[in-house]
Amino acid sequence: MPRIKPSTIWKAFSLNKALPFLLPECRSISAAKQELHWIENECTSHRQVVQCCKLRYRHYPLQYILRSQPFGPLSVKCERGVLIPRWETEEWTMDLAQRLPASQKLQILDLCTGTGCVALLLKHLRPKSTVHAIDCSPLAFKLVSLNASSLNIDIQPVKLDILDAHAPNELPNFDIITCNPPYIPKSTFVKETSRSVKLFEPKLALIGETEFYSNLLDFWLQKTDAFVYEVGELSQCTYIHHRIAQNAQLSDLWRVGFKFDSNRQARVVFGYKRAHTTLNWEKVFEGFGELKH
Amino acid sequence: MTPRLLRIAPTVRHQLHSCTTTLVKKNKLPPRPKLTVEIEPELEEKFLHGGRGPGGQKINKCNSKVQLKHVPSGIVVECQETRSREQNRKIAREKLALQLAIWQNGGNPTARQTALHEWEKQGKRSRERKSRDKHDRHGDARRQERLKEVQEEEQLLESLLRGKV
Repeated sequence: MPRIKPSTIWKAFSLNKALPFLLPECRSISAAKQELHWIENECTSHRQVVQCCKLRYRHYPLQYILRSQPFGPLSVKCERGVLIPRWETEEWTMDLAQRLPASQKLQILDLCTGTGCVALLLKHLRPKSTVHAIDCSPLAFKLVSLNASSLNIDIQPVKLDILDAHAPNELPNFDIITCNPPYIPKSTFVKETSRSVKLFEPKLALIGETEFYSNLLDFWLQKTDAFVYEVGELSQCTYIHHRIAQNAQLSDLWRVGFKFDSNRQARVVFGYKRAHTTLNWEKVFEGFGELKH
Repeated sequence: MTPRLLRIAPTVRHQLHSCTTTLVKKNKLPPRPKLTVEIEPELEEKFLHGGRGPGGQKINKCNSKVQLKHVPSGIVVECQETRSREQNRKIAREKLALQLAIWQNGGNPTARQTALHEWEKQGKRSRERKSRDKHDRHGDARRQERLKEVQEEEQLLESLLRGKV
């Protein structure tokens, strides 16, 4: 990353004394001004603004400072120890929610829910459905409940470790499972992850390779008619694709597809049953992504 | 000579009438231009998230810029005013609607803009008038006071003169 020019720092200083603190994260004066504006809107005193800017200088995430992140039409509360919702997740969730039929009472399950953003948005846009939100972290469980009550959206938070083999037995069957599992491989975590994420976001919600995808295929696939899993890279998409294609039983029953985000990165792997479902999933997922299998 | 009645043609009379300025009201401006649903397929939407690379959980950028392009006219608008993508998309559409209305108007400002401009001018005029009135009023008061002082002085002088006599 190129260094910030001293002239830029001086220029920022002449505009506002707190502005140079924002430059390491924002990189440009216009972006820093924008961020300062947001911070000023939330703070009551000038001292508080400067304190927030100093936190930003140490790469503390803005979402934790302002304690919220817009997610579609909702504003989701964020707290230290729980992953901040990303725009990629927002994008596919909005797309998925608009595809689900509004008139049907769907049973939706959101795994690794974190702040509960996906579950909350789905329930908000499709109020007739029933949404369960599962996370193993007690902090996340608390935050989901808090978000649900403050946004007045009725979802069922459950505290459960989904990697536990007995976990699916405690729950009924679902129409669709969504999940944003930790997907950054340990090998690339230090090198490719941005400093703010590395220092302040929970590793529990970040580091993972294929364990959640294999867990899906081994345990959760029997409980659902369709699934939508976020991924970090194409290899995780192909992992699911290959495992389903190689298994004769699954390969007959399931279709698998990939979805790319607007940054042209592989972002979602989804699948649905070809037959014996309450819903015509083929129609729901038409145009959602590229079908591979 | 027989007296002749001066007759005004109806068209002229209409023009005469329109000479008197109609006031623009702030709450009765022409509406903002809006994007219709039919125009949506002509739009190209791009999300610029500041940075290439893997994205996802690896970064937590909060600025998302929305860039909206109207293909037939080549008009491009951007918005990154808020942290919310939804909100930015909405604002970008409002901006584009305004630009499109100007474009369809052949580069001239829209009815709303001219009305707004007129409203501003009107406000300026009324402010000037008020300040002039106030100035006049104060001037009058000052003059009256001075007159009073002079009269008092004269009275004093007269009384003094009489006293001496």
